Amino acid sequence: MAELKRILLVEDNPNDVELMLAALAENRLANEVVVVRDGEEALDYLYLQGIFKMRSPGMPAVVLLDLKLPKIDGLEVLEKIKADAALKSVPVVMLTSSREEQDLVRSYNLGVNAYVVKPVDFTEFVAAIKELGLFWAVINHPPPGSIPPP
Amino acid sequence: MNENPKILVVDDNIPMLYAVARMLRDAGYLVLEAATGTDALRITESEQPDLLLLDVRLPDISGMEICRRVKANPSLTGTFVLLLSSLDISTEKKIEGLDSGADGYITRPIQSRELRARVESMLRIQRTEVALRGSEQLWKTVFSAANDSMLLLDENLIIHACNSTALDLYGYAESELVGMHVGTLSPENLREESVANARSISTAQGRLFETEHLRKSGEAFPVEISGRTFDVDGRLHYIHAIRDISERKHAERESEQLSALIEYQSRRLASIIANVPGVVWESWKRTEGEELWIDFVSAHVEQMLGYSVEEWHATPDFWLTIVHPDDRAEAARVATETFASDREGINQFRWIAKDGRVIWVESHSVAIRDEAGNPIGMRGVTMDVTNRRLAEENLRYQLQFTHVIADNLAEGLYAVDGAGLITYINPAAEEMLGWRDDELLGRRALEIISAPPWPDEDPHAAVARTGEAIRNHEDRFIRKDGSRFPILCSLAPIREDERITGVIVAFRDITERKQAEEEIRQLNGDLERRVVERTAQLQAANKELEAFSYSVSHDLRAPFRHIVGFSDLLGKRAGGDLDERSRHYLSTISESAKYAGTLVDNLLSFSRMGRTELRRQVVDMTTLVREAIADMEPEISQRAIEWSIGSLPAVEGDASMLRLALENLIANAVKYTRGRTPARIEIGCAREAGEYVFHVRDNGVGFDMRYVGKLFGVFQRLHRAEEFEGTGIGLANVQRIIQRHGGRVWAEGIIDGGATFSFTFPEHG
Repeated sequence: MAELKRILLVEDNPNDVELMLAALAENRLANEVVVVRDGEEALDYLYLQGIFKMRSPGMPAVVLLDLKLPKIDGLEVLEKIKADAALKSVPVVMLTSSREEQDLVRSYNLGVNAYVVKPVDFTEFVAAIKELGLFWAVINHPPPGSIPPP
Repeated sequence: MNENPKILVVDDNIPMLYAVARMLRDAGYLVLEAATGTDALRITESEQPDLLLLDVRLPDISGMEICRRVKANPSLTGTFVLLLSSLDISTEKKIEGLDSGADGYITRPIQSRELRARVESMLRIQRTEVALRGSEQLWKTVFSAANDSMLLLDENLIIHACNSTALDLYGYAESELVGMHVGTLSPENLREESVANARSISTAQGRLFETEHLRKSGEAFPVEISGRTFDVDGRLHYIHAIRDISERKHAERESEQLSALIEYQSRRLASIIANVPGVVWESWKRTEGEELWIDFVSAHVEQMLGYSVEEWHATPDFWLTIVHPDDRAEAARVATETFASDREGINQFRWIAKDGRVIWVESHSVAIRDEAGNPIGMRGVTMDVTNRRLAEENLRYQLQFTHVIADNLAEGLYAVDGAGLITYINPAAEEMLGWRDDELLGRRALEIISAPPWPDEDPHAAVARTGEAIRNHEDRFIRKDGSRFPILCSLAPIREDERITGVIVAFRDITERKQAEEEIRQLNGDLERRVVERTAQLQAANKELEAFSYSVSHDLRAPFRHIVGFSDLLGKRAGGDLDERSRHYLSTISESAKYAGTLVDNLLSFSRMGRTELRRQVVDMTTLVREAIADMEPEISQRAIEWSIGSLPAVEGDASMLRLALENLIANAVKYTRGRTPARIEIGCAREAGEYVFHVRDNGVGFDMRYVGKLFGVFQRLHRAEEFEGTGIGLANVQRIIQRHGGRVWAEGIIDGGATFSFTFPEHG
């Protein structure tokens, strides 16, 4: 039985948001997906501040984090999460167009849980998301305090 | 003896005196007359008559008394006395007269014939006695006054008499010596021989023999004995004259020693002369002329000049005749001068030997003078100095050579003595320093030449002290006008035997070099600054490029992804409603976008190959090849490929880059053998000249060698996309990777005959 856990998607490009949601739909992953458009919003969400002051409590089962973001970029967000004792147990999957090795190295150094280069081929993308979603949002047991099943 | 005996007649009776005198005169005697005793004594003493005819009775002194006085006078022993008396004289008186010493008596009256006979007889006796007495006296005198010791021996060789010299010689008293056997005087070992010698003396001849005698003290001494014999009343007597020959023996010994010494000295002198490396000579003037003739010349002269000693003796002033013509006048002048002076004459000239050799000699000579101080000859030594002359000439030549070098050297040169005072300076140094040599000689080099500040120890002194040269030392010198200039100098000790007598300094004005160095330094500074600037620019450009690449990788890729994604979504959503052509369009859109995405990916990787740093490590090429092939498994599994993989070495390089290169080459081989059954791919390596040469060979479609130059260019393709897919970046990447590792890449191919891609790799260690 699949438990549907909340996914926080941090992505500024609406096309990518749409493709991501389509890919999740393709895989029949019906998790709650919260989409934020930049790093600042992501941190607001995680810290329950700003526009997310009043959001329902609990942490997402996984954060899908784009690398290039306006205002505060993905690596900075990652750094904040992993440096915060309350947040560092939240799994973060870096989801990026970049194959730059430097990004990969930095991400792992900051404690990222997975690093995925988005393939150009949509079929491959769907396959990748399927794997991701199954693992992080279904199979993996999030740390205590994550959003419980409705 | 007097022919006419002298007779003094004494009588107080004058007629008697006269008559007797007349008788004796008539007999031919020399007659003196005296009438008194006093006169008689006076005349006797002054005239020493042979005979005194004395009247016994005289008025003043009696005849007896006169007779006694005459006989008592030793100087009158030759005077006989005849007493005249009367017939009546008593026998008693006659006895008294004879007792007084009278030699005879005549009684008056006297007959003329009797008187003459008696006088004549008396005078004969007188003459005999006088002669005898004289002879004995003579003998005694000779015996005792002889310088030689005399021993008179009887027939038994008993000493019968001796003289005082003998007593002195032997140290005995006469009483001891007389009565002694002569053998007692000989040492025991010689006694028998000595006695035999004494006895062997024959009557006729004397004999001389040498032996040894003893003094009373026992001391032995050498004697020469001259022995003779004579008869006395038929009995043999010996007389030995003995001479102490100690002194003669000593003299003989001394003489022998002296002779030996003289002989030794002569030999020594001869040896010295013979060994003098030159000629020792002496020449004398002869009475007939002014020339000097060689009187002595050492034998070495023959060896030296080839002329025999005889030739030297044969011609006056021979030495001068063989002097080199150029030196002859001077040699003659010096000789003449020396002959006339007290000084030693020294001269060098050349002699020409008999065989024509030229020999340099140095002659030292002095004049020989007679007792009056007039020069009569010369002597001297003439030495062969040819070798010395040669050495001197050689030295002179070297010195000249050195001077020519020093004077013409472009480098400055000066020398100092042990105290650091300048002893020499060459023209180049004079010019550089602006001083003349006479202004600098004797001055302290450090103070006049070196620009202050000066070091604690004068470097000249340091070199003189340690004997260690200083090379290529940079310093500043000061000119006479006070200006300074940089120099490069070397200081070296001057050694004479083991002693350091000074220091020589060579220096060069390096103003121009210094300027050049300064310029170079400035240029270098400029260059460095420009490099820094350029590097900064490059770094900025690189950063920009990186930022650009980074953007491209994110931002350019995303749209292609979106195109592909939405085309797929569209296809899925409207797939059933679309006709065939529309679906084809959709698929082309998707494929093109995917291709564009691949292109971007490859381009980015190519860019990264150029930018990222090499991470060198030991990489096993065999492993890399196997991994690369394994990665291509999906495609390879569909194909029939014969692999031939040789033994590949481990190299030092960036593993991921090398893997990419190998992947590209192997993928190409796989790709271009598509359609070959079987496809053959061979991977191998050889070692050539310190590097590895790898190759990947296939039996694929190959290529036209005309286009080989385009093979490794970015986006260059030799095949159409319909034939073989590709972006045209793979081989460009391979080349970049191999070049970054210090290797070379090349390709050989034949259309439809396969291709071989080779690359070298430096062999480390």
